[in-house]
Amino acid sequence: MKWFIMRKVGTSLLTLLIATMVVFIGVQALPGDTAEVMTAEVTDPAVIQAIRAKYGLDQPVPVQYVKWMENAIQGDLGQSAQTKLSVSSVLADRIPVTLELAGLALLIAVLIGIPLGIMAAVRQGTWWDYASTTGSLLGLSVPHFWLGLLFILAFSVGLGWLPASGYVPFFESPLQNLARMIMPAVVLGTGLAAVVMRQMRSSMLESLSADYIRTARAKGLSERAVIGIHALRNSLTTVLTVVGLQLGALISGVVITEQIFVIPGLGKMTLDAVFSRDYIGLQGVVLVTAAAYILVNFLVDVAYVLLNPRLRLGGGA
Amino acid sequence: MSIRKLTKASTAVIAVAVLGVTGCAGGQDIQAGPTPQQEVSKGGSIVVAMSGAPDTLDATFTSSKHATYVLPNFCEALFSINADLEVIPQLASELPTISDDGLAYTIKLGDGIKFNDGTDFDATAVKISLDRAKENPLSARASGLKSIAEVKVVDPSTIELTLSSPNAPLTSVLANREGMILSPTQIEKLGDDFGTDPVCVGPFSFDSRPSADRIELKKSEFYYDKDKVNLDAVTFVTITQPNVRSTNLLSGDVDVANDVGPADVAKLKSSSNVDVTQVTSLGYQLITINVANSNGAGKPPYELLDAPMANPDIRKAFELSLDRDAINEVVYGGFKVPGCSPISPSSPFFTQVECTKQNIEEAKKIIAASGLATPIPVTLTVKASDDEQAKLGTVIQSMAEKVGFNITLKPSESTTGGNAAIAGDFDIYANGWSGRVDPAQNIDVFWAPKSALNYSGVDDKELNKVLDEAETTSDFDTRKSLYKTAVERMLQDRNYIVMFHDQLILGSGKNVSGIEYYGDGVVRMKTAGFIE
Amino acid sequence: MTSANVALNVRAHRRRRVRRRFLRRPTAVVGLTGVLFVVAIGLLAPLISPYDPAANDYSNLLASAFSPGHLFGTDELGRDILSRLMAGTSTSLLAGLLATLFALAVAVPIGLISGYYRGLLDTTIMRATDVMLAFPFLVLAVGLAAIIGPSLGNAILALSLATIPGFLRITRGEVLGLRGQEYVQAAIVNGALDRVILFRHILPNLVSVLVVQASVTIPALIIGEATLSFLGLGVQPPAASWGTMLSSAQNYIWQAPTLALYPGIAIAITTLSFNLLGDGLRDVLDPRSKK
Repeated sequence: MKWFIMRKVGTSLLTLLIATMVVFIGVQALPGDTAEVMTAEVTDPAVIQAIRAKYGLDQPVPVQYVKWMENAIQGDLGQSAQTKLSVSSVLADRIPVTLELAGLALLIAVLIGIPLGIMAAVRQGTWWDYASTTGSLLGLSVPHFWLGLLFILAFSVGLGWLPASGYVPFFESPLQNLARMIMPAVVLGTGLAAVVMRQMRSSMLESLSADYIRTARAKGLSERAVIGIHALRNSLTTVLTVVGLQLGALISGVVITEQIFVIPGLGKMTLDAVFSRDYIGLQGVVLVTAAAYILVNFLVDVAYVLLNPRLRLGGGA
Repeated sequence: MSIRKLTKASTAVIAVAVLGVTGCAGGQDIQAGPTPQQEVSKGGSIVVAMSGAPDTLDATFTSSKHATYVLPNFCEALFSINADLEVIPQLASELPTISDDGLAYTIKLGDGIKFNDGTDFDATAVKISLDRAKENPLSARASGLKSIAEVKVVDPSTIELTLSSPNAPLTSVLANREGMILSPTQIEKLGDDFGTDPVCVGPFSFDSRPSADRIELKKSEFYYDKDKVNLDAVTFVTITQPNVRSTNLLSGDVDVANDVGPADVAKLKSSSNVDVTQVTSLGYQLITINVANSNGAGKPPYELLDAPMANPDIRKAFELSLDRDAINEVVYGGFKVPGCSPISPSSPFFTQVECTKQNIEEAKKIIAASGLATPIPVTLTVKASDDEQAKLGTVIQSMAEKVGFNITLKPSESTTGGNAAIAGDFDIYANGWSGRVDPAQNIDVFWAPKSALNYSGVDDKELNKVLDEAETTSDFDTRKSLYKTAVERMLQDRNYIVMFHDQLILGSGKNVSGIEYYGDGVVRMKTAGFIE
Repeated sequence: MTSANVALNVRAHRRRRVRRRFLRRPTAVVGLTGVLFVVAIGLLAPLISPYDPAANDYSNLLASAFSPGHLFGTDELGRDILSRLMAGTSTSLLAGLLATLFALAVAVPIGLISGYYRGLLDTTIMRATDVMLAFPFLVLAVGLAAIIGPSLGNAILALSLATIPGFLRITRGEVLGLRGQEYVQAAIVNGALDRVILFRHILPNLVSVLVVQASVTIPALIIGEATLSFLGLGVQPPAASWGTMLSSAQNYIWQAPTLALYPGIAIAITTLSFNLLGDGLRDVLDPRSKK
């Protein structure tokens, strides 16, 4: 067991390391460099060269990379070229926002998906099953940004019930915070709910038809108890599976949802950084996103194995 | 956040009672000029939504127009402008005394002025700021101040500038970022990181900037004109999408919205709790035509290109295909001012000029006479990912098509497009200029042979003579007539075709008053406040 | 009968059975119909479009639905919305299809080799896949657009890059499973060439899994292209894409709210059809899927 976890840690760290290199090289490939961005109105090449020297931008790429990693490990991700704001402190402000959004979306997905999935499995083949399956497919078929626009149209512009955008920190005003988070969370949660529902249904069906279930029923256990026990166990693995599978999609969804609802999280920061050519900021936020992805994947894999030791055997997808 | 919501509730109650008696009219006309001055109460904090985030808040290094709009609230300059866009003294006590040869400027400074950290404002501080603006390698202000050879402290309240050559626009330049005076103590402390915690003279002082799109200011303890300042705090936030900005204004989440989009104006006008203020700005939109730039803007001598647009007649045909009024209606909702002069109608230097009107037949004739094979292929560079620019490109495309041009749109990311323009790597380019107070600054930027933004490759000896004279004379009337001559010549050459003057539209809650909003786009909150 | 003939007969029989089982599922049939309908529009758009999707008409801006001559009205430049929806269909289908095909073309060969030969090559490829997956597709696309400029082609490139890891993993997984099957083991023992084993035994079984996966990937990529165009990173105006139509609609959300409705409905119908089809195919083709 321990051996498995250590191996996982090893591969995760390796992946993380390679990811940092990819981020760094990727940013180098973007047109212009930080020096040019900082000296937008200056055209004297000698000045631009002087800036490069000052910030170490004329060093060979591997050297710059090492410097960046050294600083990053100590928590210093540099300063945004134009505003001179510390990237680390901006990230520290934005991470909780995105976490709240993702967390709420996951909560909504679970609250909707799990019960629906159970019902669909239990009433398999009935119109209820078909309806919820089609409904879940609909949830997967609708693009986030359109759903977001529709919600804004209906609830902000039309009915005026909810504010269209913005963010208020939770501890400043829980009511305002939730009023602004509810639409984006539902938008994000819809697609997730669909996946959760389908996954839950499929795993429930699998366990409900297993042999030992028939034995349990024969022995006199009530139907409800049978379903209840399996619902519980399957919920956990379902959520883990979905998180593992959908993490990438969730992050992409966060990026676009934050953009539409103007929520100051990591997703919006990524887009803003690219559009405003804040390369140092971009490096920082993509690094954090990739690291988060690798971490969550690691945790999901470990949790999976803890729940079901039979899966420990290596290989496979 | 703001007390506007409370006010909204109470006014709603009163309004209902009043409506029954007076029959209140809905919608309001847009007022031109600054927001109406009414009795305002002391206190309160206001949130202003900007259309873009300022880069750095250091006046020496900043190059974003959004910083220009925000800085004067906490960083005043030697001079400023009034509603008529005339230069007036601000930190200086009067306009400068200029020697007859135009090479010496004596500037008297105001008394008893303190920086927002409590230290004294004096001539030494001015010298430090001006020297920094001229000499710091990262300074974006160097070219504006390049005519100054030396800054001398005569006494604690007098500064003398020695110029290397006469430069009439200098006073206006010192009314902008070049003339902003920074606290030497803070420069000493933070050096090039001054922008992370800027200290200058201003009605408000910098409080914090938690992220790139949020700037928090608070009322200054030390401001020399403290009594006129009403608000306790001002927050500038950035909301890039126009409809989101307007939605926030309507819902009361922000109190003021800068740069209202044309599609939203009708909605704001018809709402009962928002005022709309509109001013014609100093900026303009234009179409730049590459006539002679093949190895870099700002690097004469230029060689005429072997391209259809290098022929002035073809350029004339192109302009003849365009209908400024129609474009204005369709693309900008009628909110720009059609025009063809780089000098804004709101500027005192403006003289009326005759703009080319659309004439499809004449355009076709010119092209036929030129012997060029039609359709003439031309690539139009527009800013990518910008809805308005996309529409502009599409409309120009369909208009020019009617006379025999085949326009291909090339959406380019703004830095890439800018770099390509500098390199001469374009046919025609739809760009804009945000506008400065002095006409020289609005003309030199594109027409001066050595200007880094002379994308077209203009080097017209006759024009240069007129422009140089206008820059070195200080007499207002002489300059005005010289610029009239210059503009008429520029209209003939058509290296740059000015299309529209910008209008700046500001939305503010009806309970807000006292914002000074002039043609330079600065959102001046000094005397702003909530109506009691 | 030779073993080859037996194999062929078995396959033909399976195909008939699959077809029958498919047609018995209403949702799958609905999906297939939808897909065919959308594809037909996409192919025939230039022929059946009532107007030129790029034709401006300044006298008829933002006309509402059912106005004379325009079933769905016009947009902010007077262009017919129905025509633009049709043109957008071609764009979206092209993007979804091309990106999927490209991803398959790259991922399947690599997955085959990785799963069949195992060893260091396999480990390296798996690590590389892990790294690629750590970057959400939107970030990849945004970065790509910043480097090589925004365009439909670049959007397709970004979309396929984002899809390759997924297809790779599936292919590899299948290969690993199939490799252990008896008939494959028998072929190896008999000294058959690697090439023969891969192409004759493994690949055909792979096809059904990939077909199912492709049919759910295409709709995801259609949404992806719309998202990128919405952000201004894909199709550039005046070309019509459902994404750009929605992006402009944002600015007119008060004056003409329905502008935002039509492209979204078009996307929903298209992707729902593909998803229903994919679901149906999965139920029918994949022996290991649950009912």
